[in-house]
Amino acid sequence: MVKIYFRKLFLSSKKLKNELRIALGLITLILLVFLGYLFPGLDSSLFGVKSVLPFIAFVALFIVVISFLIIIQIVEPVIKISNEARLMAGGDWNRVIELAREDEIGELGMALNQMTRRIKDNVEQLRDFSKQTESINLEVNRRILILSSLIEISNLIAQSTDLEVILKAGADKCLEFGGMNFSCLILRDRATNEFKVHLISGDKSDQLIESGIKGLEIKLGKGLIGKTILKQDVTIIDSKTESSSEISEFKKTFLVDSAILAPITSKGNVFGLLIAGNNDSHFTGSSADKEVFYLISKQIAIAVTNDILKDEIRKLEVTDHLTGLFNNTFTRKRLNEEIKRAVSLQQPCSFALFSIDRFEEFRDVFGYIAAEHALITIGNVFKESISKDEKAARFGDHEFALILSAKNKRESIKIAEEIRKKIEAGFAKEEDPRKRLTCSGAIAENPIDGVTAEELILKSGVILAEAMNKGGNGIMH
Amino acid sequence: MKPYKRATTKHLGELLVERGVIDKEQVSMAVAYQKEKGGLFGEVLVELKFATEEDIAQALTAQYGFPYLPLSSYEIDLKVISAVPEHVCRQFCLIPIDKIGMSLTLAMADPLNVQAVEDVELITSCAVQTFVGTASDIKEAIDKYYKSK
Repeated sequence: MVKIYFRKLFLSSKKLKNELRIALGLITLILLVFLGYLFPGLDSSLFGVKSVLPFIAFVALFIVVISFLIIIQIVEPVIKISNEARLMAGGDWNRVIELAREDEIGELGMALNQMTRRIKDNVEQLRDFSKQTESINLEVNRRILILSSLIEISNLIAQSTDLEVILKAGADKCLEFGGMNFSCLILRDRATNEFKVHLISGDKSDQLIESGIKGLEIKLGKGLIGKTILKQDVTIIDSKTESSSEISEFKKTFLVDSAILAPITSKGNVFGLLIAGNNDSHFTGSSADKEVFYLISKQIAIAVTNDILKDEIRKLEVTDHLTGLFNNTFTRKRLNEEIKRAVSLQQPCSFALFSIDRFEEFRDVFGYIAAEHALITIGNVFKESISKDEKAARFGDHEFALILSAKNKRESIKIAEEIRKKIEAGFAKEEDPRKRLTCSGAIAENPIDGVTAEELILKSGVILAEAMNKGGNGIMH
Repeated sequence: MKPYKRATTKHLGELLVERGVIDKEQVSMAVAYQKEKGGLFGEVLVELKFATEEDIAQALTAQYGFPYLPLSSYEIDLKVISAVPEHVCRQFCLIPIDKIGMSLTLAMADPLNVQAVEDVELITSCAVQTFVGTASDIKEAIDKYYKSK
């Protein structure tokens, strides 16, 4: 204890200690000089005492000791304060300077204690702020991640990317949130109107595909999936969810312990269901998770809606972009209508199909641009050769067609022959014989060759093949 | 029964107006009705009660000399029937009634339908002679003979 005390006193504050030593030495020296001055014959006898030197030495020592003790009493708390202050400066804000004194040193200690407390409070506040900032940063980062994922999907939609690519991106994005390791898209098949597993992403996709998940029968309103599709709200299956036979069956089918199911809907139209799952039986889905999967499912719904609309537009398009003539889809539809009209009016209706002879060879030799120019020229011949009641179409790559309402074969052959001659004449002046394009044509008539558009088209195709085999540049019926 | 070759492309409506069976307003109404509902012009006139089937047949006979043939009292050989497909008969409201050599005789509700005559000539490679029949008689005969074929 004493050793520690002295170590603290002498070793911990070397500079102060030396200064004290010097001060004490000087006091002793002054005292001895003063005594020497007062008592010049110290070594002679006084009042019968042989020598007073020991007495003087004792008094001097006593004064020195008293002085030393007084100095220690002053210096010790200073050193203590210094040591405490050093520790505090090192970051130990829990230290308290214990000095039961009412002098300036005691006030200094108290002031330091107050300062330390304030600093400590401030540091704790800063720490709290730091924690709050950290959690805010994490939330901001999470939201940025969500936003960037959504923007990524939006960009794909805006760039008219293929629907399958967008769906895959959406399913993959699900794996970045909520610790999910599996995602699945169930979509309504536009042809059959049935809900089918469309794609699977994640760790167990191969295993699930092998187990025949794509053939999973999904009925609206039945089973967990069939019911959730109709809910139009996100469903969470986590550690808090009460188990049921439907949930157990779902977990077993998709090999998951927890899952989030988000219906893919838009304006009341149900397109399917987005499922994201994991194998964490302690998973607890948060409202933030719910929001993420809701947003992803909405993006997928937009992509599906967009694709449906594109399909509709394709169906609504009636003209061929290159020639400006009607397209194949419109022609088939219109031919059916014209046949119905012809039947009701007890008139004939003819369909003429043309093919440009050796056109593939022409394209190979002279290139695509020359081929397109030739098709435009031929398209113009068709436009100029028909009346307003007749319809001309680009029926295939280098196939053209005519719907000849109220025309029988004889009349149709006449029109087709005129077109054939015009095309022949139009290219006859070309120097290169390979550029001298001609066409073959075939006429099929309702009711002679068929009573539906498909029958007439089929029949005309057969006749056309025969015309081409005969060397081309001719019309057959 | 002497068959007659067609000699005109005049529309049935014009013919009936000329004969005073119907007026121009009725023709317009019948054309409008035909556009909406379809059907043969003669049938429309009958349906709208502007004329009877007999009126039409008589008009065609008197104006152009197409002989009238009451199909209900006529038996048709099935070999003749097979010369023209059923859907052609139904679409043009006609029925083959006789074939001698390369000459085919048709009973038609509208013998002025030149396109129909041309088509039958094309299918059969025969010269076609036409008789007038009422639309209901022809449809009945088509049902009868093509069903039994």
